[in-house]
Amino acid sequence: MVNLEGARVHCIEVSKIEKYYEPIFDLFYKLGIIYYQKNELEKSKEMFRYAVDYKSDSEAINFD
Amino acid sequence: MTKPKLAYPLIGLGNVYVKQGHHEDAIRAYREAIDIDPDSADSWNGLGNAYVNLGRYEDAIEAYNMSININPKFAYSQNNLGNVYHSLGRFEEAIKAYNKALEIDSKYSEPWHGIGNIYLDVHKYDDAINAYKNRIKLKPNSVNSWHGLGNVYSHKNCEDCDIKALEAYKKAIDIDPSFSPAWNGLGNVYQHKEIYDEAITAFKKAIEIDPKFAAARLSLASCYKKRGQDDRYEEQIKIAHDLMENEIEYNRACFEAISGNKDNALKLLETALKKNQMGPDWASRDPDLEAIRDDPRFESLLKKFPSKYSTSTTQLEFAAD
Repeated sequence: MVNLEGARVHCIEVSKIEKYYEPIFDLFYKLGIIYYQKNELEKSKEMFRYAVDYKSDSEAINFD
Repeated sequence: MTKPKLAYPLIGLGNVYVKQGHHEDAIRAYREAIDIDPDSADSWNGLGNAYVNLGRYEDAIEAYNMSININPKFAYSQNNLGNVYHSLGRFEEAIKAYNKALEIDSKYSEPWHGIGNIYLDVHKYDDAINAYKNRIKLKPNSVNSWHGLGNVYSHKNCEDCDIKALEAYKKAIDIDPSFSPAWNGLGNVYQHKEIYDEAITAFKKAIEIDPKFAAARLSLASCYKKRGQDDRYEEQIKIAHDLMENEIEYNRACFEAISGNKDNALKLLETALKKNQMGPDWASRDPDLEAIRDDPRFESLLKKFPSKYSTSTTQLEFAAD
């Protein structure tokens, strides 16, 4: 049994506290895929967007 | 973090947008992914899919070819390329792309469905049957290939074709009872066999699933007319009339025939045959055209458009390797 909703909420919480914690990118991306496969498209989009935003933030730190 | 990895969620986002029908947003997401990683075959493939959904077929071909250039072993892009060529009526190129997809991955079932669709379109029925059966062998629950198989047997004129068509449509319905085209196909076979109770039940089911299913409404109307149920016939014809505007000429010819407008029906049928929307063999048997079958113009029209393609079993004879 996987508590997907719990994972989603915790990831969002962690991203607020640890903004540049790299494993969070993978978690958001994987959650996006799982929600996509479950056809929960709005949640999938939300998770992919968090991953994209993380990308933008990490780029700002690493490359600017 | 590697740059290609940063493109992944954008591809995911693009895939969500495609599924939601937001194709312009999907294009933006895939393009952004390509900006980050121009060598992502997945991004180009996704971009091709979004273009297809917008009817931008030439752009789609370009995108799929980019994907294939990056990863020549990407069977999905080859198959998608085949689908676009099919949509454009470029059958030989489509068959070539499907064959390449099968060469790359012989366990990949989808290209067989595409090959079946093409052979059905060009009325090479035995080849279409082989192709759909190959798909079903690899993926037994392929509802669309069971439906395709039903369509081939419906169109092919042979002794036990009706029975085989019924079996195929019923199998499609067993797999997915909400697949309205299979109910419509089932109805057509019963209608052809003049088993109107069963035909009406099947057409009603198709309409219950998809109320805008114009062809099913038309065939239902035709069944009511046959049984002398004029009120119900009028009711269905009225609804079908409003749905007919965007239908292909062949279906509009059926509508005009059932409505008793012979001249319009024959005119539309001629256009439909010119456009190869349906073979003359099916037109000569389609119950929906019964009202114009006795007209001498009908026979001369069919003679004018003999079946362009043989129904031999020559395997993929127009497919280059």
